[in-house]
Amino acid sequence: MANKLDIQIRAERQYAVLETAGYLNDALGEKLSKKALELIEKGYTQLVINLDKTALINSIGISILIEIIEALEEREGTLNFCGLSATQERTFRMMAIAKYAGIFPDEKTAIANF
Amino acid sequence: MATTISNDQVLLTIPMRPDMELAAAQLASVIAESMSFSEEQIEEIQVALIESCINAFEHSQSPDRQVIIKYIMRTDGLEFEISDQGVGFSPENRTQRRASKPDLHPDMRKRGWGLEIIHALMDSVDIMSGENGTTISMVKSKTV
Amino acid sequence: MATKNSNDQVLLMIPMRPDMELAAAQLASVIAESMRFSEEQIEEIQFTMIESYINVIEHSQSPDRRMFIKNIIRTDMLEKEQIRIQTIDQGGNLAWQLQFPMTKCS
Repeated sequence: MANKLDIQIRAERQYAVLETAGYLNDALGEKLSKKALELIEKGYTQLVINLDKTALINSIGISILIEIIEALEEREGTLNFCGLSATQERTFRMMAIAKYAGIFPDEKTAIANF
Repeated sequence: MATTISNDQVLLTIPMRPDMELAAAQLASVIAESMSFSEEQIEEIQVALIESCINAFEHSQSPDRQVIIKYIMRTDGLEFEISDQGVGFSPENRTQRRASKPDLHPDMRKRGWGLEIIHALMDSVDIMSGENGTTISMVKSKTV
Repeated sequence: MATKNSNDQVLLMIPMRPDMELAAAQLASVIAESMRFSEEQIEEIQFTMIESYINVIEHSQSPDRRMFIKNIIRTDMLEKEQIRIQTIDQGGNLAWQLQFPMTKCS
């Protein structure tokens, strides 16, 4: 598996999508957090994180995702996830992430459910 | 460290350095694939192995800064033994590598999930810990 | 053969079984990628791992069909920007050794 770390951003008027590629560990998580916080500072309160190209996430990466959820909550915003594998979704549900963020199968559905 | 392996074993020694947990997980992936595990099972194995390695990296305080992983290919499944020569588990040595803000929601805490994730993803998990180090033994069965 | 490896080395011991060469190649690939080798170099490293495995299988005198692949990988990036792969058979003989100098990815 290639582990090309990357984050693509697609910012629209109402929302922004952050798409990760590669292993979501502390390194990629920090990059993602920085980009997400920049968007939140710019006034974006509806974010989608698309994990379709991230095959593996570790618990440090997930802790950074929780920080993004919390940062959005402080602005009364919403974070929706999409592109999760079955294992990732199971882990997110176990960690109560599904209670405070949306989980959707694809980007289109995640955007439609703000 | 043992210097011999049997024909159904793979032995990997990794330094506690960035991305080494991923190397251990990718090795597990190829072995599990050769044993015809499903894609979902392979991902579960990889995540459990990553968390086991991170646990050792973060908490063991091992002087040699190494983790030894034994992959045992059994007829009924794949077994892993992840060992370090650190100080063993105790709440006192659970220092966090990454400082984070206090949790906003107690049920969605940010750290301390590693062992719960490992237990959730593997079929059996056994942890032996003492002053000479920690070994996590875990098994993924072929049929659940 | 020295068995205690230093903190910039990865040691892999694999049996002579189907697909084990792929496991070794995959391991080397992830490590090389984390060291920022180029895609072409990573392919070369993977190919080398597979060939070294085949070489040991073909020429090994190992009675119990066991083999060591000792990966000496992640030599200090600042000092010696290179990856070195040594394949050592069960008898402790060095069967294969290659060194790749690193080319930084852009």
